[in-house]
Amino acid sequence: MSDPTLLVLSSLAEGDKHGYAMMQDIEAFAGVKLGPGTLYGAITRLEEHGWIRPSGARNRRQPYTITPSGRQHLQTELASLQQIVNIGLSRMKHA
Amino acid sequence: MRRVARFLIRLYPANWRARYGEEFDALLEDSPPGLGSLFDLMKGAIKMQMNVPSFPKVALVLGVAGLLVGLGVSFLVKPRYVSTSVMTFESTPGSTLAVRDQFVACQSEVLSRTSLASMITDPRLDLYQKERQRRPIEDVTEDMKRNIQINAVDVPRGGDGQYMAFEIRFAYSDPNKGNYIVG
Repeated sequence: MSDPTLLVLSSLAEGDKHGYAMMQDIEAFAGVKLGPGTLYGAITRLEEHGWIRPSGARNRRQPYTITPSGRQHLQTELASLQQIVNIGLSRMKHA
Repeated sequence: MRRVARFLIRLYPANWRARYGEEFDALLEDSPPGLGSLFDLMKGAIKMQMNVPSFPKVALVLGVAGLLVGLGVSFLVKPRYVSTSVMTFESTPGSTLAVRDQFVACQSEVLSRTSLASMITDPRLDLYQKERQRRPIEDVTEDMKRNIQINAVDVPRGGDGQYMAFEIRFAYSDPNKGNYIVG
């Protein structure tokens, strides 16, 4: 999974985080080092869709939170990925 | 690097900077940008500008991107100079074949491994210094062989005699050493 928006949503599913904390978390759980431009590109798109929003007071190190519709979107995308993984693994067994 | 990063942030659309500029700046403070991050910032700026259709902006971003790529390439690519010399021989009628034979023999001798190795290690030239630190001399002589060309060239006839000419070309990073080799 290397789609930056899904990585950001997965990171925020655990709890609110600011940009740098997301970068560290994503590198830890997915082994993907997101560049600052890619990370904020994903944050911009996610906020435009209403899947994340800033949390707490406005801050230079602004934390973000996942919204209910963002959680729903993540759920759908992960289920789709899970299906692909299951089919891929079962085909590998039969090959 | 941070100064370059701050410059690249200016390539993002103004309304985007107004919304995310401060927190983006804080992120760059927490995670000092490397070369990869600078390319990532440039890519991000181009994508953001594409979302705000405006031809002058896109042209500016692409121009800056081209300039940065050009600068990067100019630092990475080693310059190569091609030194050329032409040797002309006059032969009496009927002796053209002998000159050609001499040329072939001379070409084989010049391009022999021993001859190339002695040129490479000649203290006055000291060619392919860096390559010799990493690879055996046999491989380096093969590199030099690929960079030398000796070809027969046409020359206009004059008088009773026949003229033959041979062009020697050598491509190398140092033009003075290249000229010495073909001279």
